[in-house]
Amino acid sequence: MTPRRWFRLLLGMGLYGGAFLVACAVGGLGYFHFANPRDTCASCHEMTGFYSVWAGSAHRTVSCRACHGGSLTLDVHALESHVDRIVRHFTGDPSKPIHLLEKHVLGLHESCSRCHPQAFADWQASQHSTTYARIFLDPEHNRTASPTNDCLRCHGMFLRDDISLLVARPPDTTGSWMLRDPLRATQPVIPCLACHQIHAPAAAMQAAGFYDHREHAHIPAYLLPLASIRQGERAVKVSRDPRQRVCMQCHAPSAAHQLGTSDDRTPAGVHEGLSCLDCHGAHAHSAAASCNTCHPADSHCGIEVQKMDTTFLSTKSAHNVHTVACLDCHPQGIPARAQLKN
Amino acid sequence: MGLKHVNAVVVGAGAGGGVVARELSEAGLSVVLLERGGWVSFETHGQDELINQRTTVLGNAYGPDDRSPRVVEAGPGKWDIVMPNEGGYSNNAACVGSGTVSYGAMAWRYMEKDFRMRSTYGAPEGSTLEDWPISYADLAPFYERAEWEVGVSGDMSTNPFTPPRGRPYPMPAFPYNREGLILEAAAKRLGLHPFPIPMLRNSVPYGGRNACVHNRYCCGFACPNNAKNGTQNTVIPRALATGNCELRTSSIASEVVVDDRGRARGVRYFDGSDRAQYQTADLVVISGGAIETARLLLNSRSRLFPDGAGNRHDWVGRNLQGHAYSGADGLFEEETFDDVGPGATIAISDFNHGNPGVRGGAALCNEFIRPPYGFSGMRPPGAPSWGKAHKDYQRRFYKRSVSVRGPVQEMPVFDARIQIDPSVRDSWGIPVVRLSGSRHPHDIEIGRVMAARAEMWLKEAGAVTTWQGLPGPGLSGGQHQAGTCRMGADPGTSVTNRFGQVHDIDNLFLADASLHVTNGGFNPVLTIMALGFWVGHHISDGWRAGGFR
Amino acid sequence: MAGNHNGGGADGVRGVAPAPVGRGALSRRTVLKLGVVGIIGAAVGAGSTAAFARLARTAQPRYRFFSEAEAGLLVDICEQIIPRDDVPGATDTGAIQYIDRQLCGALRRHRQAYREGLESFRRTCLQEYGKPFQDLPAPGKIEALRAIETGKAPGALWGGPSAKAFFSLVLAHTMQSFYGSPRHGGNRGYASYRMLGLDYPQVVGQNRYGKA
Repeated sequence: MTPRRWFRLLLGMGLYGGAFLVACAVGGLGYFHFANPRDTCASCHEMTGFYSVWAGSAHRTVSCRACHGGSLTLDVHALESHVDRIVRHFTGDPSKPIHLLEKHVLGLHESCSRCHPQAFADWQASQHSTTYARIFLDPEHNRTASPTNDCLRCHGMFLRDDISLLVARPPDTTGSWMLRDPLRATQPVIPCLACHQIHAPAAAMQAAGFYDHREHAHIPAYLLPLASIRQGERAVKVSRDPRQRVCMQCHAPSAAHQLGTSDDRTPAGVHEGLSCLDCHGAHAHSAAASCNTCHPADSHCGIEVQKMDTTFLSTKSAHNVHTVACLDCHPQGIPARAQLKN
Repeated sequence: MGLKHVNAVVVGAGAGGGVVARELSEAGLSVVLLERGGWVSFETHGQDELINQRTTVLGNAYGPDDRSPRVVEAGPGKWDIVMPNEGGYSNNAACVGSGTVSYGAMAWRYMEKDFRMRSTYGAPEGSTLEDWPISYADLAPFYERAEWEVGVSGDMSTNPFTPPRGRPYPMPAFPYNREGLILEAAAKRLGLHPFPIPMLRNSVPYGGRNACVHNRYCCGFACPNNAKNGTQNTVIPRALATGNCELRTSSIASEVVVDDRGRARGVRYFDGSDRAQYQTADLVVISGGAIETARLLLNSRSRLFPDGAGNRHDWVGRNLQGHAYSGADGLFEEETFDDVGPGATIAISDFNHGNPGVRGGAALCNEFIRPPYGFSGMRPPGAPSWGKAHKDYQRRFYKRSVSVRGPVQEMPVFDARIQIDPSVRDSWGIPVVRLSGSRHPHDIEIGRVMAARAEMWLKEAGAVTTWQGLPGPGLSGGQHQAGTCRMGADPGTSVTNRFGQVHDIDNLFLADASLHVTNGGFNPVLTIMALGFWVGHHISDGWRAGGFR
Repeated sequence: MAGNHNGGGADGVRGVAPAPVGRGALSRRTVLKLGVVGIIGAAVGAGSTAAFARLARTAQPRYRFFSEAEAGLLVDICEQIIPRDDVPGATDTGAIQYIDRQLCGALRRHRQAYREGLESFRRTCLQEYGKPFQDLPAPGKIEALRAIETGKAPGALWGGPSAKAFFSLVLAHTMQSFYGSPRHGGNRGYASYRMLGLDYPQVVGQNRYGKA
């Protein structure tokens, strides 16, 4: 054969061979992308647990790729972690627990908004949509208490790094606190997955869960502790609403569990025993409109509660809605029950 | 191509070395601080009961790892290779801050008599008991510096046995938890003098760090809130901020080079890429902890010191001590658990000295909160350790138990020792230590006395079942390891002089618990820090007077 | 379903691959041949992936270290150590998963002790009680285990770890699985913490802004 023919032959082999290999890869990945996860992702034992939980969840009709993206991905982390897992599988190394990176969690968070636009909009309007910049760069806060790893328990819980890799101290007394990665500034620190376990069993009550930063796992609300709260020696009656246990993970009292200490907002006084969710919407947290649900019909004193100063922001308010008790207005003793104004 | 010569190289960034690095860099010396571990974070292991620095069944949270084995005597002529997370290794830690990252943070000053054990009690047969060459009064100002610079919360006003002090503690004491309140009342009924345990932990914001939030677990874990004070978040950052101190992590020291004129020239070490390096310096300070400091000296053979630097009279590596921890456990009808961590809040110092018939004693304290796995082994003798009865016990008593323990002063024994193993090497090729010897019989005897005291206290507090925990005869050491290079006036029976300066090598200093002649009846860390200030102060004075160059 | 999309993959190839060859060289015939190669390739890729995934699923052993028989015996031993009552026991909370996983990790050094110890245990039961451990009645299991614990088992059968040493190994690891963090494979559903009445996660605030 002439060199030219050789060249043509090689070129042809390269062309058709290359096309064949590319087609194989696309075919294989395409199969993984579109086939039932039972036959793809979940055929690895590392994934079977996740799969079976998902298969029993309210989201079982939503395919893996709808939230996670499929195998036709160019995400370097995903490829790298899959290869790592395969190597570990065949070398008999214990597989590392599977965790989503924060960027994946934020990606999922965006996916939630596609099907749950109202809840998402409510969350956006609430204080829980706060960002890294607002939480970690507040100079007033950082002057009294510098950021620590424990902050990540309730803010930025999907981060895996030491706090020093997130926030940089001011280089001198006049400088300001900075995020090491400026792109984080507008990212939410309490995304949907902070309080929701997407793969949770279908029963509505169990969709709420708390993502435990230390354990790198969601704990469903019904498994979270029902904290005992004390007012002096007296045990405060705490609502048994399991969803409230999620709130209490962060809106928590100091270790001795005295009412109103630290970030505790457990209602006592006339509102004792109510659940957070009785007044605060699950996503929109404003409670201003909720008084109407019970008042004036259920008012003990017959006054118009909407006109009271029921602020909770001022802990000094005598009418702090979380703690207001009959004795706050009737220090001399509680009169006989007032007539309801109808 | 050598490394740039510096004024001082300090080996080990723990309780002693961190302080010395700060003192020297503050005094204007250029300092290289070598640390075999790296910076560690709470994030790596969180509050994992199976991987921390106290319970290490699945590994050490804060180092070292299996690249650093040791050899321990398993019986006459029988030597076992042990890994750092196994019993017998006598581990402390390997990271910036060393044990001070994860310690329980009790901040004790030794008492006056702790420095004069021999003249107070006389040495028992078979012990090398000796007085320190320095007194409490010598060290008191340096204790004070440690308390203020690192940060201690405490209040000794109800402890009549506490040695005299200048300034009070910089932070108020922590309140008693429920166990503390139960024990306080009982101690008072017994005519004892309970007081809050001084802690290297912030009861209020201090030094730009936060106040403690009372997490359940603390001892054995890094603090997620930066409220526990070690050298890694106090003196070491200050040393680095002077611009005079360079910290080199993952640096494994292998030898102190001593020349033919008896001067230390520098330190050979392996850097983070396992390359051999040689850092020359005007002076060298070793603060590797009692075991690793002795190992480094023994591995530093030279013409003048063929058996290791400072080892002319075979005293390096001798007298290894820890504490003969003794005490008692008690079960209660009422709940004693209040989940206000870390749990150890109350102490008595009534039995540190003056116990009839025995030498020394211990501070008795209530224990840190027992984690669940740890509690599964806390049983009265003969109680079933498994089966349905085990579960019932756990349920019934987990929240109804109190444990009182004390670090009982040990009698130094010449043959409780560290040697260099003839064959085993670590992953850098450096010969490792072999540990051998046993406790003095007096340690067991005094352990019984202290356990009986603890049991009496628990009974008075209302415990329905009590039992004693006694020390075994085996070699002591562990996180309270001390004594292997004692300071002394006589070069024939000690390794350094009263300033931690190695006899016959004027520019080689030690600054850690290896200097301790005796180890007190208290957790040793504040004394190690005070010695760091003491040694550092002496070096800076000498430097300013033109010495060491 | 997969078949339809294989066509999509081949389309992509047909559109892209020939471009570098140059306008003149790209005859209609070449494009057609490339299309055929692409379709076959995609089919082979998808088919072999599916076959491999199926193989992986069927060939999946349940344990990393233990054989099914060993695991069955060990589960039964662990269940005696922490039996189920009104709260879950060792089986329900994943003791075997903990031990199996850690024997491939931090507890690797105990592999031989398990392999030999379980075999000694099996033979001890056959010799002493005439049947496998699993077939003993509940009190018999406890009695047999107590004999192992106290070292009363026939020493000749214990060539690896002694009976006592083996028991204390299993005891320690079962306790670790039950009381340790679920991240290590045991303590499923935080069962032991709930049994002890221990809040997990601990409810604790940070006392910021001076509020006690």
